[in-house]
Amino acid sequence: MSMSAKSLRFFLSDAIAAIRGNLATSILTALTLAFSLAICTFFFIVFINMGTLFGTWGDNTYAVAYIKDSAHARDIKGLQKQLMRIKGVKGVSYVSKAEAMAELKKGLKGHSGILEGMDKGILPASFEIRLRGETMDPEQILKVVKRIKSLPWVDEMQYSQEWARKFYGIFKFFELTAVVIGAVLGAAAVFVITNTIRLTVYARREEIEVLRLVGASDTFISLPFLIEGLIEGAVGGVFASVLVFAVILLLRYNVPDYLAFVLDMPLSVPVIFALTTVLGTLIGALGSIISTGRFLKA
Amino acid sequence: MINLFHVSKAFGNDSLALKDITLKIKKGEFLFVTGPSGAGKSTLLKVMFGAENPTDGQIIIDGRNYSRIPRQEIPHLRRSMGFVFQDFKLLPAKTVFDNVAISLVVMGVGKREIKNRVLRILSYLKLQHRINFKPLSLSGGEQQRVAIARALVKEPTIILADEPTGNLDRKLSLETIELFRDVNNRGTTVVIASHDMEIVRKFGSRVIRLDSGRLVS
Ligand SMILES: Nc1ncnc2c1ncn2[C@@H]1O[C@H](COP(=O)(O)OP(=O)(O)OP(=O)(O)O)[C@@H](O)[C@H]1O
Ligand SMILES: [Mg+2]
Repeated sequence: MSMSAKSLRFFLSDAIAAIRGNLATSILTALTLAFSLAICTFFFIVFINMGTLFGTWGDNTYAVAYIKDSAHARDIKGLQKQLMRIKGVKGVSYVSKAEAMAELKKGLKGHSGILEGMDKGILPASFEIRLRGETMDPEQILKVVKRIKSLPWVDEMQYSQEWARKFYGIFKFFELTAVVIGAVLGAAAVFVITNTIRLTVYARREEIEVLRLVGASDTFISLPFLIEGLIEGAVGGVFASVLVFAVILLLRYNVPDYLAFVLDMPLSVPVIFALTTVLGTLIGALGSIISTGRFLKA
Repeated sequence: MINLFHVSKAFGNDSLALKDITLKIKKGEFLFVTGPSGAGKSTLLKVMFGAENPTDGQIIIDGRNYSRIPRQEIPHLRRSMGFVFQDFKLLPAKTVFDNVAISLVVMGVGKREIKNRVLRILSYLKLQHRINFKPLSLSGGEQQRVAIARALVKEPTIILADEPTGNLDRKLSLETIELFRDVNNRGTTVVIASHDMEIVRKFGSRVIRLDSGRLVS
């Protein structure tokens, strides 16, 4: 079916007439969608910020590879290159024998007298290796550690599997919670839109029947409803971002400093605005497709 | 053009509205369906249009069996058929122009052509002064003519008209049937349900009679 300008006018005027005729319901739909979407977006922002925090925690997933005393500078250079090439290794820093001793002294604070007269080279040189704790599970990390251990010139490895395990557990739990909450709120939003559009479809069932009798295709019949859903969804999306920004501004001055980071904008304001609007529009379209589809099949 | 084989139609578990109807309508025919109220005239036209499914039997339109046409092709079939409903079935929120235009809009006809064709058929039916009215502000006879215009404007190959003169005075009735005759002379198959015996006698080339859902002659 070719969509002439005439038919487009038909659809648009139908959709606008439907929204006007049902203004209270349409506004209520847009608002409900706005609230679900705002809660979603708010959680999204908080979760992203928590995720960033976890990411810094993930940096604490590290292992130390002690280097054999017999290694020369050239061997150490070669080892560093090899380490950097291993997948799962985020960064490597070299700690010389002298630095290791200095660290130890610092750790002992006032009691450094114990070290008097000790050979400066008694502590081994090492590589501190930061691992991608946030993307690998403990088993994968263990594999990486074993791999490193098998490299030439590596003497001993020090690695806390306990930490990786705990961190990974918390991170996975957090991820799961975010996905579940997002899915529940998203489904709620779709459900709300589906129901309102179903009401509109029902109110206009006689008109739909007539359209069918004059030979209108399902697409032709559904388009005004699709447009209605798109408009309600877009309006809901705009409302949602306004709500989120308002809530964040309000909270920012009432939240203790150490929590303020959760309210940081992970993306720029226009991008968040665009995202909620697009998401609202998509949810509106989906709700409309579900309810008209059901009606037309019946 | 239209073939019915042993078609029956039951509504709920009441007695049959159509009983074992076998009927052949040739291309270009001008046929009247008569019979008392409740005889099944409207039901017969509706099953021919595919607006009601028969309980039994086969209906073949232009070589195609309704029971084997996929759902999404029904709209295409309907675009080649014009139906004038006994209760008009106009869209109350739309103007007379849009009500007639809708037939062409669903076919994807261009804007200018729609305007030309709609205005021409509306002036044929003496409705040019009602173009921007909504159906409910029209008289019964005017609404009926809008319904006729909507069926004729798409220049269908088959016209099924259910009591198209039921709300018209004598003069308009005769003019309207003349209009159907014109269309018929240009090759369109026309089936009209009517209990107006005067019109049937005056124009009827072929007349079939229903009684209690049965074909009696
Ligand atoms: N949708 C329906 N549901 C239940 N029964 C119906 C329905 N449509 C028609 N009937 C029944 O089928 C029978 C035939 O009805 P139909 O409308 O075809 O008669 P008709 O010949 O067109 O009558 P009229 O001259 O009054 O228009 C009637 O007994 C009617 O009650
Ligand atoms: Mg009837």
